[in-house]
Formats: sequence, C-alpha cells, structure tokens
Amino acid sequence: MSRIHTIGIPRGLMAYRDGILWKEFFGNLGFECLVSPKSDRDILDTGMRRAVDETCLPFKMYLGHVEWLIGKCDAVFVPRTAGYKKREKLCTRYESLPDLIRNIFRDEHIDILTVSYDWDMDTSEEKVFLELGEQLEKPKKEVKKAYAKAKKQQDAWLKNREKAQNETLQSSRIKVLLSGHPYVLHDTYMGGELAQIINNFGAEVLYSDCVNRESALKKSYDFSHVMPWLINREITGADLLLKKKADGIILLSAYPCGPDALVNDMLTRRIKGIPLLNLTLDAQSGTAGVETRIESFIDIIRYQKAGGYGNQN
Amino acid sequence: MKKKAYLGIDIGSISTKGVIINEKNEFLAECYLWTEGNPTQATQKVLRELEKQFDADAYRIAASGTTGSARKLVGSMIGAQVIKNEITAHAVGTTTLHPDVRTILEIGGQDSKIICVENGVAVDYAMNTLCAAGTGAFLSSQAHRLGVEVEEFGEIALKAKKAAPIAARCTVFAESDLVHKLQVGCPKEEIIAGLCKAVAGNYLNNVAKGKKIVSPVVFQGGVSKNAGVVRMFEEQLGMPVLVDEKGHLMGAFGIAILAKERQDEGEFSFDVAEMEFKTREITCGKCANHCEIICVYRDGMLIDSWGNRCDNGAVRQ
Repeated sequence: MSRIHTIGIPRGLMAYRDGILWKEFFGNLGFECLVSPKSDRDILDTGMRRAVDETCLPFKMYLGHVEWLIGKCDAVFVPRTAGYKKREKLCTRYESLPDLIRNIFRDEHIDILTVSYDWDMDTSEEKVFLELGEQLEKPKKEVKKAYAKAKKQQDAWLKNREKAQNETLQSSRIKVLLSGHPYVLHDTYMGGELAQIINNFGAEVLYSDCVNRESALKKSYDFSHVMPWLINREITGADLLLKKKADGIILLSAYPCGPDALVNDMLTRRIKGIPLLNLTLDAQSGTAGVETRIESFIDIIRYQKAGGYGNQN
Repeated sequence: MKKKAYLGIDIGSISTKGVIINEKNEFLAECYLWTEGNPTQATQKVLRELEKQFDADAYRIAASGTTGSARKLVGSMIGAQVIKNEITAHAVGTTTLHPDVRTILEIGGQDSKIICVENGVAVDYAMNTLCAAGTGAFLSSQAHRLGVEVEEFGEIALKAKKAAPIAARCTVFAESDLVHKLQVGCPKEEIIAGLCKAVAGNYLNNVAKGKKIVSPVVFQGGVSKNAGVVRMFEEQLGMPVLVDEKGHLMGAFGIAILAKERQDEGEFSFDVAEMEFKTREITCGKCANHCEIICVYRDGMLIDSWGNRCDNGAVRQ
C-alpha cells in the first residue's frame, strides 16, 4: 500500500455525507485526494452504461464517478459501510459497495482502498479509521491525530451549514424543505437542478441534512422505534424538527429507492399540517415535468398564504 | 368604449382548449380541438375559431394566459401575461364555478391529477408519473382495438349488466387481458364497462392513493365525458360525482381568470393566427450536460428560448 500517493474519492453516495471527513483524514496523513467533478450528463451516461437497469439512479451516478477516476489516481476509496447500530443501518448498496465496484470494473483491474464495518461488530468510527490508517501503513499515533483533526474539520463544516440554514430560516420568502438522501439533494444533476427551479420561483430552499445530525437522529425515534435505516432516520428527524419552520416539504427520492419507498409513504401519511409533495427523480432528461410539479406546489403554498385565488367575491 | 375580455388557452398533449371571458367570468367564446402533435398550429386554429365567435366591436382582449404542457411555447407565441401550471389553472377555474368543491378529479389525454381543495383554495395535489395507463390515450387505443369510437364508450358501458374484470395497471397487461376476454366470448359491452371500471380503479389506487376524497367531487378532463367512468367513480367512492358541462374547458377558463386578476394588461392580436411559428431544438455543446434548448421563431425571428441549465447555453436574441 505504500505506493499510494493519490486517493480518488468518487463524488457520489456517502461522499455527500462523510466526504469531508474522508478527505481531511487522508490529507492529514499526507495523501493527495482527487475528488471526481460535479455530476453532469456525461458522468451519468457513463454510469448508466455500466449499471444494470434495475439499480438506483444515485448508484448509476456513482459508477460514472468511479470510472472518471480510473487512471487518475493510485486507488479509489470505496468503503463498505453497513452502519454502527442495529436501528441505524445503511441500505444493501453500501453493504456490498466494494464488491460491486470490483466486479463491475473487473476488466479495468482498479485498485480499491476499502474498509468495512457492520452494526453487529463491536466497533466505532475511530476504530474504523485506525484500521484504515493501518492499511495505509501509517503509525497509529499519527492516524489517531489525523482522525481527530479530520473530525473537527467535519464538525466545523457541518456547523457552518447549520448556521447558514438558520439564517435562511429568518427569510420572509417562502421556504421549501428539500428532504432526502444527501447524495440526491446535493448532486448537481439531481437535487441541484431542483434547488435552481425553486429559487427561480422566488422561494428559499432548506435541506434535511443541514439540520444537526444528532438532534435529527434522536427525534426520529419519536416517529419510529424500529425503522432500520440511519439516513432515513436523519431525514425523518429533520422533517419533524423543521415542520413548523418551513412552508412546505418536498420528499425527494431517486428511483428506485427501497427505504424511501417505505419511509416516504409513512411520512406522507403521518406529517400533517404542512403542504407535502412526493417527487421521484429518474434518468429521464428534461425538467419540464418536475418544473410543473414544483410550480404547482409553490402556488399551493402561496395562494393558501394569500387566503385564496381572489376569484370568489 | 369597448369592454374588457380575457383570453385563456390550455394546450394539452391531446387537446387544445381556448376560451374568452368577460369581467363577470361569463364565456364569450370557446373552442376545443385536437392538438395533433402540433401545439402552435392547434393554437392558431383555436384562435381563428375564437375570433369567429368573438364580438370585436363590443369587446377588446385586455390580457391573456396559457396553461398546459405547451404553455411556455404558446405563451411566448401569443405574448401571454400569465403562464401557469395546469394544477393552479384547474383549481382556479373549478372553484370559480363551484365555490364549495372539495375534490377535483381530472383525467386528460395523457395525464391525470387530483386536487384537494379547502376553503376555495388547493391544499394538496398529485399527478400521475410518466406512465399514461388509465388516461384518455389508453381508452382511445382500446377503443380502436375493439372497433368502437371512444366517444361511444360511456353509453355502451352503461348498458352492460356487469363489468368484466380487466387489469388496468399497465396498458400492455390490459391489452392482453382484453384479447383474452374477447377470445373467451365475453360481450363487448361488458369489456367496455370493465375498461371504465379499470380506469376509475387505477386512478383511485394510484394518482389518488393516500388522498382523502371529500364531497363535493367534481370530475373533469376529456375522460369525464365518458358516463361509464363517471358511474364507476360514483360506485367506488359511494358519493355523487359532478361533471360540469364546461369541465373540459376548466384549465383555459382558470388561466383566463388569472390573466384578468393579474390586472397587467397587454396587447393581443388575432393576427398571430396567420404568422409563421417554428421551433427548433438544439443540443448545446458547451459543457457535458448537453442541454436541449428550445428556440421559438416568429416569421423567422427568434422570440424566445429555454431549456439551458446555465448561462453558457443562453441563446441571444
């Protein structure tokens, strides 16, 4: 492993949640990090050529990012993240990610840097990073320091986002909460397009992952004790915490997502007293359908606030 | 001095609708025809028809609006003051004529929607996804297969003693189901009644899933003209379903009212019916997104363009 100088990080899936921690950790240990560029049509098309039809859009996008990194780095970082707790797991994509990538890119013989953890193992985030550092042949003390520093850097990043969102909450404009997996919300070719459309209609965008993670996670247990997925817990908790502060919630999902299909249905039935829209993105190009749906939704909020259409005298 | 009138056009994938109303929301002219895949020509035909019915000596068009899937294109074509989605347009139109409405069911040519209304304003809605199962296009294709005009469907369905069970979740399944029923000698009217039942059932289980349907219910869109589907809705919902005589024009009516309320007057001339409009789709090559940009030309001059994700793709006029 000592021949590794540059570590590639695909800008997809959990990179949108934990990417800062990874990047800073590797950086603190003296490695170069190469993050693939923001998603665009080309990256998606590349990913789609690699993927089976039935898999989800974010995974197809991820494959495009992995392919972009081939030949540009010494190893691609593809962790196997299954969750740390029984009720805070991740979907099966993550539990099999390195195997999937290794097999899909079998002919390219790409070098994968990976680490694995599971909810039934007695482990912690720090232990996982120590293991990762050991693989990279760095002294334990140095790895510990690199992790602690990276954790601080990530915390600062998270705090900044929370702060920015709290400022948006003060706005007098209509505030729409985009609720979904971080890799759907912040991917330029998925949620990024939506945020643009919402802004164009004169409304502010709030994000479910710009809420304090620990508070959201805790709150989610009010909603369900048995729900097994970490990210859906963070989303649910954020929705509940922001329900009174936002003017409307868009449950944004990328097709097909198993956990979203279950949880968003529950949310639709149980979140009351705020306009709520279910929106599912797929690989279809063109935003006309999405635009109509968002425009209709913002109209509902706007005319309700105005008390009617002014057509009943 | 001429009195003010307002024009509303609703350009759907299958049909194009146009109305002109006065200050009191009364219809001065109306028209309904097939889009036939050409929204600009359909609009021009609608305008010519409206012009015939319109009393230009007594009225002048003070403002106009467009809605429906080609609203942007036609909006820039006629210089509309209001360009708005069909959910809002339908909600405004329907609540004007039926102020107490609580649920609006709508099945059009290629889409279907439900709008929930409280105190005269929409509070929730849902639209079908990409799949057009159970819409007007689905019924037309089945009518064709059965050798019956789709307009006759309702009447035939009402004559049936019972409805044959047909799966309407997917057009492909429905077709094979239908062929099977024909082959086992099921009477045509029962199959047609079955199709109507399937459309209503499919709608309630998909588009309206999870929505609370509260009376009074108004059903509109092209499919509302099918009495068979209306009856199936009434049976399945256990409540009366109202179909307005002008139900097919509700989107155009609603957008005309929005144009009126906007109080932002603009010039409009029926001359656009005689101008040449062309649209061109270009694929932008300036970045990896390859946006599809739509350019609209009037008599060879670029008047509008959209579809670019960023400024690099902006088409200069």
